[in-house]
Amino acid sequence: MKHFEYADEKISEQEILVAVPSILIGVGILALPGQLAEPTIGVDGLISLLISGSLLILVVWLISKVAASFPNQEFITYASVLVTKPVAAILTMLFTIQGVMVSAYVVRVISDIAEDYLFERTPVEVIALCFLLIVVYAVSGSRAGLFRLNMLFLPIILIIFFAIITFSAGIFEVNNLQPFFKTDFTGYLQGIKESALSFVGFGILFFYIALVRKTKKAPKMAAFGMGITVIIYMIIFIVSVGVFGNITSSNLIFPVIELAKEIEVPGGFFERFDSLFFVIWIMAIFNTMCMAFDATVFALKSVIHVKKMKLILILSPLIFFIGAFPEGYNEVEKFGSFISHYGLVLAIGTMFLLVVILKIKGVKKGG
Amino acid sequence: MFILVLFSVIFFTTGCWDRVEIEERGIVIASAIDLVDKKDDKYTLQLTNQLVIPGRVGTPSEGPSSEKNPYINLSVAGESLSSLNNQMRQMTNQNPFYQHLKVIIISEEVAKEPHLFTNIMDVYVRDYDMRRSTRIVITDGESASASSILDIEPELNPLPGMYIEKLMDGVYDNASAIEPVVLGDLHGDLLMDKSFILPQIELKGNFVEYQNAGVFQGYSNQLIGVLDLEETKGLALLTEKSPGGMLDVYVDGKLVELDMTEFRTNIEIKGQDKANLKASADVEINANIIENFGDESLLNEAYENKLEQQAEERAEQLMKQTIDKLQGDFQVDVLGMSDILYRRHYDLWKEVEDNWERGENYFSQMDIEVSAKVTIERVGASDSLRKQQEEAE
Repeated sequence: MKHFEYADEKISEQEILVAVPSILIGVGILALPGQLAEPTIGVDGLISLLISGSLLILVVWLISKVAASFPNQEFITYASVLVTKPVAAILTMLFTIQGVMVSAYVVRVISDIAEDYLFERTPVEVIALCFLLIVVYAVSGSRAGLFRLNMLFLPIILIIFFAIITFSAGIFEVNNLQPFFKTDFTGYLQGIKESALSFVGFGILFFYIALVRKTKKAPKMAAFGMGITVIIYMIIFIVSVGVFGNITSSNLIFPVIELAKEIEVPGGFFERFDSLFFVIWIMAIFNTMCMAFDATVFALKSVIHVKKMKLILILSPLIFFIGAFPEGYNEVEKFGSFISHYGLVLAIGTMFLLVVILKIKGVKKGG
Repeated sequence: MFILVLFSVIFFTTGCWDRVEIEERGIVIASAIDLVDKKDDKYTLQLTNQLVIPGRVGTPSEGPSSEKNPYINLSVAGESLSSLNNQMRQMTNQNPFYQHLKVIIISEEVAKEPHLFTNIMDVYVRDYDMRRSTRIVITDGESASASSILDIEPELNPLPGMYIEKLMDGVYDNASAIEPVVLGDLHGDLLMDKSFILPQIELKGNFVEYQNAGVFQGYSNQLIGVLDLEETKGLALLTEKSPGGMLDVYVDGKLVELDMTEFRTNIEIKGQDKANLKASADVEINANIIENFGDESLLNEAYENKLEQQAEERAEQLMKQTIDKLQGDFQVDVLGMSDILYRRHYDLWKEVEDNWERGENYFSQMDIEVSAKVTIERVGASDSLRKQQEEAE
């Protein structure tokens, strides 16, 4: 297969800025307002979101900082220097497992939702397969190309989210936000946990910083990207609670989809806004999945020296079957929650390990 | 050869599972739910769906393209709504399509059964096809069944379902009817076991009248009574549930009709003691004079003051009437007092929550004061007719 070769497989710092929200905005945001509203009262969940968001911005910054201390070195290379080669290989494998699971979960959720809301009679497997094949096609191409695709899609995704916010102004009720600060301590903690778990996948920055041409500004950019994501999550949460109220939000399985269904563009010209929302949202999911899959391939290739195409062809059936494995809504939910915990613990754990050892050993300049 | 096979595969075996031709979609614009039979705890419900036949609707300029009605009403009876849906699927070649459902009409008998209403609503908030902006009304039980409302033949709109929807849109100058209640609003009320109101429609010959408000008790989820015209007007004033309307005022025994162009209600709850709750409801009304039976000039200040004062008394009386009914007969809080407590006095609300509408019944014991302030803005295009006649004599 011939395709256009870019000059080099390097990316700029701005592309890291765009990549972070592209990776994170995906399946999590659809259910987040409900999960966050459940343990909290009014819009108090916002505080939880702000706390977990700020912590994770710091985490993302540290991850990028560690990775950027070794410019243009792959994870396995600099991790080997810090924590010996076998440990680095094990960590890489753990990230690979995360990538496979995230991809499987995303494929499953998107096909379930598409089946529920869009294609009643199309078999779920067919939807999943179609989606997976497109992702496989994207991943088998240039890696830098994926980042450029992120850059192309993110503005469109942001526009549609802001459209939701604008058009919901008419049905937004400020009264729904009250009362303020009535949540108890455990409620806030629960909210912090729920919101932290909805940001999954930033761990792959360990791998992608290696692609950045000039790493000096990369940590800042990654933190900025995380900041954008947190702000979008916060806005969506406020809008959801304002439109539905706290209790209805927590009762809805996917408040954001219901939001898209609820709003009507003034003028009666365009009654069904949700159709547009689905199109754009699938683009967001596509970005998430591409990055997760590509990171998996990237990580695995650094340990096992097999051709990229071969890895993709081995992994994709695996992803398809893992995705098909959970039965019913509850098991999918459990699977998702497991991945979230796994991803969060792995990313933060690795970060701590590397940061501490880096501090002890000191950074070797140059390279 | 291989390419040829590949191409033929692409061209001849592609298909779309979910392709439904528009003619095959049974677009449901209105649903009516009646109670047919009740045995012990088992209910038999009748679901009537109004399906549009697009071909017969015709374009506005051409008029209806055939003599036949552009809709069909399908009724089936059974125990659960989803089973009724299935039955309907067996009766027509069309698949009920609910994305354009405008109105759900619930008969009074259904609404009066405890908890049945919630069970019916469940399918409407659960189904992915349903839209949260679907309106819900109840019927006046004595006049007719819910399904018979879908059988009327309105002259001005070929589709009864659409006719009812348009009727509800016209509520902006009618304070005896409340604003339409949509499924989305109801979802929250049902979840929180809050009491709520639903507008009522009544069959009048070939017309439907949209007025009054049915009051639902939160914890039992059943219709416990209906507010009449005046009480609904009082409720509208208290809750801003209607954007305006008429106010009939007697000045010196002569009727003056005021058109309330705008009103703003402010309810405040005072008293931190749960046994001694006090609330004040202040309404500011802007009104225009639209009809005058009196014979005094409207352009003098003394008369204006008198009129305003009378109007204020009238508005207060309407509100008091409603409050008395709600606190006395019904003992349900549809005034939004619980919301105000929840939002502004959360700790107090937690104390009274379980005894709000039952048990200690804090809502009914609450002392609610009302006050109204009326400002007459315009008198219309001319002064009193009567007076000019007198001068001419």
